[in-house]
Amino acid sequence: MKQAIALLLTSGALGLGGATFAEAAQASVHAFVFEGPAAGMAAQIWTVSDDDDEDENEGRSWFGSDDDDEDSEDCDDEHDDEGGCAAGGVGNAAPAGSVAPPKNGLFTDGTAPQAQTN
Amino acid sequence: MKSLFAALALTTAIIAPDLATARPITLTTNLAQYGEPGAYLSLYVTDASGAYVGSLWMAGGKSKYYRHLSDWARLTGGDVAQVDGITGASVGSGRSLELTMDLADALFDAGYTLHIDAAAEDMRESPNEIAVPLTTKGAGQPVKGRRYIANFSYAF
Repeated sequence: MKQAIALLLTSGALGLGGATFAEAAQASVHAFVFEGPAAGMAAQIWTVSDDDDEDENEGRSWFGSDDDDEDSEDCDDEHDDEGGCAAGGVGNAAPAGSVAPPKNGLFTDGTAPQAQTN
Repeated sequence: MKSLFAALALTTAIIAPDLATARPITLTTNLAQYGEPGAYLSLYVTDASGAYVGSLWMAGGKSKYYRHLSDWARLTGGDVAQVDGITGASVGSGRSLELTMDLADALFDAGYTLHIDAAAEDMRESPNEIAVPLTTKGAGQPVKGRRYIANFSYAF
């Protein structure tokens, strides 16, 4: 019986200890997230993380790794790669059929090239 | 009745030269089996002095990659407006791009050259892969490419 009571007390103490630790951990998380300096950190991390993503994209981007340095000049770094570089998006050429061809003297006015891929 | 014929003759005289200034032409670019996803291609024209005249087509929609079409980019300063309304999808390995357009007659037998720059993912740039003088005699004669393009030809 004494052993059973001792066991109960021990497990109870462990359980309470665990709960206390969990609360403490939660409290520390909240403190990190919501305190002023921590909020600043979070913003900084977002920026760094964003840059990392861009680097990863450049690493597996078109035209080989030898162009990674030049990628800093493309629209990835202008922060408009989300749609900005999509076909027909801002900064891209207007797709055929959406606007008239350029008046460069090569085409007859009013006619547009027709493309077919086989 | 006489006045009707006169009007008809006059309108024909006005319209006919316009029709004569352009001809329908088909440009066929057959890509080699280079084994990678779609190639970007720029088709453009230079005059007898090598000066850029204009673009005929851009295969590939993302302007961020146009700099890899390096001769085109150099000649145009990377001006995306040059290919507004004449841009389509990139062309896959082993596939064929067929373009039909009305081109000015004055381009033929007058020292103009049609160029094609090419580039593809993780592969080398291939500026001026095709450079073919625009002549009436050259129609229907395939020109071999170097890397991405198996051959190119134009026909009236």
